[in-house]
Amino acid sequence: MPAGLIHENYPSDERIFQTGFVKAWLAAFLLTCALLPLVASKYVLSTLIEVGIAVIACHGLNILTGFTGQISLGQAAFMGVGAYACSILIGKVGLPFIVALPLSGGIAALVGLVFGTPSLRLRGLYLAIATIAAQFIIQFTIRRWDTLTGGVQGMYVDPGAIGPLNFSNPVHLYYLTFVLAVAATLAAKNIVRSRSGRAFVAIRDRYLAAEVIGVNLFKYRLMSFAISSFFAGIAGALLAQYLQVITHESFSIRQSVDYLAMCIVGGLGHILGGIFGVGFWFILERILELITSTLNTAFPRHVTWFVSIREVVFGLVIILFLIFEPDGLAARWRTIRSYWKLWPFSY
Amino acid sequence: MKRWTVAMTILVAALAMAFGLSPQARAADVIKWGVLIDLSGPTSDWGKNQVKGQLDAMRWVNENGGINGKELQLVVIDDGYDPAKGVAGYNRLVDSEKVLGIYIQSTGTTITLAKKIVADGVATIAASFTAKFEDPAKTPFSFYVSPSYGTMGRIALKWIRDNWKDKSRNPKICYIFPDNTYGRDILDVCKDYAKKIGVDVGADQVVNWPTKDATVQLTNMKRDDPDFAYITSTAMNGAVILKNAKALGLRTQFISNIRNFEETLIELSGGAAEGTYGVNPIAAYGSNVPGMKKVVECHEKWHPGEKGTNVYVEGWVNILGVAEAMKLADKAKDLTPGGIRKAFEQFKNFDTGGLAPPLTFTSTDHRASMAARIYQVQGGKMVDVSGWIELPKDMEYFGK
Repeated sequence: MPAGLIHENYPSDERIFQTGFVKAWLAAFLLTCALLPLVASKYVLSTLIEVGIAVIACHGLNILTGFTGQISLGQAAFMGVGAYACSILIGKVGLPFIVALPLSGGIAALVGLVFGTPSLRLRGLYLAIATIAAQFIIQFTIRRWDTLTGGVQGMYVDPGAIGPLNFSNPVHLYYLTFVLAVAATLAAKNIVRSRSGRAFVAIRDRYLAAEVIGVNLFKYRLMSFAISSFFAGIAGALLAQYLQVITHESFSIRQSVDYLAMCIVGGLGHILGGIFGVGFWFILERILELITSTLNTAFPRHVTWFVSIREVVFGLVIILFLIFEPDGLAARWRTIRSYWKLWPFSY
Repeated sequence: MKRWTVAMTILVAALAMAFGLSPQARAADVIKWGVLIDLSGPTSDWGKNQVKGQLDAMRWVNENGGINGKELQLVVIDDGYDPAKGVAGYNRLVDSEKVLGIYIQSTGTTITLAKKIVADGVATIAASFTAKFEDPAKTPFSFYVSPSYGTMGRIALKWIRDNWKDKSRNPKICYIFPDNTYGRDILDVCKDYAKKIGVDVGADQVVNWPTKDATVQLTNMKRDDPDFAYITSTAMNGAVILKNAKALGLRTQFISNIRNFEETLIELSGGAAEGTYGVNPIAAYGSNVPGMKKVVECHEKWHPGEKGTNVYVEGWVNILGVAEAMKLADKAKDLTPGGIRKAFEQFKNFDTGGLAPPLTFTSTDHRASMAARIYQVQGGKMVDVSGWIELPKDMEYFGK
């Protein structure tokens, strides 16, 4: 009997869950998540909903930026498209939520296609600028299309419902987000294992070589944009359910930058990266918030000193990750795992 | 691997410290009030002065008997002008910190939270003085300590009309504002009122944030050649408008709204604010009212060398109001968010020593007051040129 994990054919090498041990851990993790609402406070629950939404959005961005190599600074705007589409479809058109949710993803994907078109000609920094344009154009449209979006006043979101679930209840919304985040993770993992996924990676690594071996650049770049925006649209629709009131300010460029940063911290080009990045980001943010507000309460005279802690730490985190761990937490996870696999005979 | 271990150890230690620092044992005689404010982001200048005033007022309240002997504690959370962060902060304040009420600064966060506030029944004080929060039938838990933006706009119009000498024609006003919820808030009410009392209104001029140049809009405005222009903005952006206007040599006299008219405007505009007007119900820092003595004393003692502002004074007014509501709720043995709301609704001419006009709330009307003063910048200082101008508390523009 061979010791360790030895792959003898491609299907076994490509399998997502490679050992029973991994499956058991995953089952335990999912079970914990499913049972959490029984014990978690409303605050923890709302944080977890935000985490789930961010995971979906980051998977989308990771496919586009991490796997296809197209930098996008417009993810929050595509989420805005999904959020407004879903809310309008429920509130003004009267569609049931279960139809409106995938439709809002579809609409966001269509808008993503339009703004992805420049990617045929533009690369790198220039594409980043083009996606910033998408961010501002979409935000401007939301602000000005009063009759549809409520303009600067914002828009009340009717709570969606599927059967007995009503998503104005945070516990129900948590389960919806949780199921969709798991589904998004599986979908993303399977997309990157497919023919299209390999084409994405080929384009990222060297687009000229990809074209030479017969990858249709335009098709796959657009496909990547559409998939990414679809994920963003779904995340946006969930965010609208969570916020209950949406305004153009809920989807600003700062959020777009934050999502990109989460992907970098987690590891661009790793599916686990989206999850690690988001988890790390939210834990850090909540801890910093706790530290600053505790310090604020303890030293009310110096309240303005502590507000910068968050900005400084986040800036530092990004820089340090880029220098010391450019592949993000996902790569570090791999190293740690292989270290323990061989422990104590690590030589 | 070693370096990584060290980093992890530091992180774990920091975590442990964070949780160790957090107030696990909640003292029974501490009363908490939440503050959701912008200490980073585009409106942080204002937020920092506001929170400074609030925290100093808290300290003063605690040094002078507290809330019937109990300690008042403000839990300050920075939302950075980001609604999503505002919602997270709100959840933490309400669910984990169990605060009795919340002060909310940014309009975006206030709008986003509007539904949740009613559902959770949390008393709130807003920095956004929109008349949409006046009607308890719609927003039963919203309060603010000033007349609404619309009321202040009408006060400015009344002042213009009352001081108009030229019998041959009506005075003329133009509105300058950014294209957002805040900017458009007063337009309908003010234009309607202007027509009623005989003030002509010229074309609207939209000057968006962040304002880098307003020459185009001001040149456009010159075609109407208005006698007055009413600026809805913030000091940072409004200063640009005043500078451009000075460079163009307009004869128009400018009136700033409360969020534009603060000491920072005078500083930033580099002299261009000289002679312009502003409408404000809050007493200017250092002005001669009975309640100002303690404010100035505390500021000089706790922030020597810093500049006092009317935003700082507004922070005091907010917390003095909150402390009073808490005292009333405590006496009624109802220290709950609902009890705070009831306490606010018992306010009848609550006097802050002239820092703001006396505050009155009832269960059917959340308009704190209807009075403000017109100030003029003279020699770099805000000088009261009108005394109190009060409008009747009638229902004509209620909630609009």
